[in-house]
Amino acid sequence: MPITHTDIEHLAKLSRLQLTVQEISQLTNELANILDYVKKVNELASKVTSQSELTAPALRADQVSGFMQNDQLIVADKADNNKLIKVPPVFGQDK
Amino acid sequence: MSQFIDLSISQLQAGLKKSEWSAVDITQAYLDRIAKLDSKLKAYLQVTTTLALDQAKVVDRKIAQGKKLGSLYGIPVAIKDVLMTKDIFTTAASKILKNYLPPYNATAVERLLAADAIILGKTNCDEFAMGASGENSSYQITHNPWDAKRVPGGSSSGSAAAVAAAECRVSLGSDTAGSIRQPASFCGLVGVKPTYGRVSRYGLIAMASSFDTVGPLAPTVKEAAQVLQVIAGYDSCDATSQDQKVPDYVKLLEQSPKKLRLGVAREFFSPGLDNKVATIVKQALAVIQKLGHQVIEVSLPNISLGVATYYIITPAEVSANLARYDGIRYGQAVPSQNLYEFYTKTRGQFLGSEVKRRIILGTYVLSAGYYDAYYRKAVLAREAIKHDFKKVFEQVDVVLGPTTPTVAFALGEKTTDPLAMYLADINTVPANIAGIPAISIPCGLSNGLPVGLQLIGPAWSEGLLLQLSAAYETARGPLPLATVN
Repeated sequence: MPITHTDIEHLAKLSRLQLTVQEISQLTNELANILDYVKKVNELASKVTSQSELTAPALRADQVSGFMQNDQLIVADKADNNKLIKVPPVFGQDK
Repeated sequence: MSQFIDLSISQLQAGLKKSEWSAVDITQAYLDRIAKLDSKLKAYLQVTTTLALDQAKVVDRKIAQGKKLGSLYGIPVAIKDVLMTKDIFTTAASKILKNYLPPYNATAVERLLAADAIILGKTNCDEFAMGASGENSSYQITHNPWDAKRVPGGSSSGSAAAVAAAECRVSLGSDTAGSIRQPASFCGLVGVKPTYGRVSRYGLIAMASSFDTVGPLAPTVKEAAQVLQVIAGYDSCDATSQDQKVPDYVKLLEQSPKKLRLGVAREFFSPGLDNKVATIVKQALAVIQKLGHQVIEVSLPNISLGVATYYIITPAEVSANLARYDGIRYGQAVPSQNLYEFYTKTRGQFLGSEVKRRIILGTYVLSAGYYDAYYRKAVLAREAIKHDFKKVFEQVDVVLGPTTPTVAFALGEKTTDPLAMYLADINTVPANIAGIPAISIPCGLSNGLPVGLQLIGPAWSEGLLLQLSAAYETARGPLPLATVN
């Protein structure tokens, strides 16, 4: 099923991206080409039949430890004197 | 500067030990060269002049006081602007991070500093490391020192151009689909993509977390090994860092590799490969064979689908990793009346077109109704490619082929066709998909432009790849350097 302008607009909403009309049009064409190319992965996917064949890198143990540098992560001009970050209102917004 | 331009790490340090020159002399000479060349080359986004000279003075004091020195003491390095540098602007070449000051150093940077390297500045790259030419930077376009009308390659465009133009001695880049190896090939350098988990990703601005790696670009194999020696090794700050012993890469170079079985994968010599590049790479293979190694034709039947696999999984990971750039905690923002508009306007205005393209594509392949058709299939396809390499490394020790299908292409040549740009990585992306190490080493010139030979090995075989590369480099003999005035 070809990708449409409406699809791109919906994806833009999901990804919180404001796109111009020109960008929507361009992305519609470009994504159609890219998706047409990448769908060939279906050829490979059929050769791996079992989920158990999936490999992943070993991760370190998920141990919780304290983080002492909170202050450093708050960029000065984004926060007020109490180190609270102010954001625009969430409720009552029009989408 | 001319006295330093051709001197290797070892030669620079030999002069420092004998007090023939100081670290400040070397640093000032490189800074002068950047001042002379970079307005045209545009490799650097930021030159940290004062910091570099301060670091050089510290090194000179340590030398004078007979204190212990790190292995890269006095050596000028440049850092790709996707690696965090404490109190030095880090932008990922994106407008959304304009004026962003990281509160910490990436582990790779921290290790270079601990080794007494001198950081000259942050280099240009494709925005958030997304690109294969350097043309996706939101700030400037870097030029290839070999031909200013051509791309240096990407995404580590500035890191490659800076080394090739002797605006630093070595640099750090990142490689997610070939972003160290491809610009190394285009600029006549050695570029190393390590095994996934070999070098910490802590402080590397994440693009595709299951593919991203950090590695060196250098004029010679030994110098690439010297940098890798410093940055490799376990880091508890990176959950995917592997606690695998780091061999003495530099010492390994003192010995020639044992007799090896070298695989030449026929899929790397596909119809899209430039004839002249093919000839030069085959000549390089002949040189290597004369060193006493056995060359065997092998097949990696699924690697031609590597780009397709990659361009489903990577945009998926990009769409998640770049969700944090919303203007709230850091970065530029567009003031708005409500939170939704704040997000959409900020991201819409300050993210570049390739970044948006990948976010949209990634959101699509992860969305309900398409996840099974695309993302899940790509994850399975990734396993098939890993399996190809596993089978091949039962037959051979190393796989060789051209790093890229062509030499450096012209600026603007592929910017209107995203898919054509993606296909520039067709030979490099398989190693990222499999998580295995690969090196690009210069093997000749085609119409005056560098050609790269790629060596790929099984996981943790960086030492063997460096050894074989060094042996080839000696047998090959010197190649001309880029002439930049």
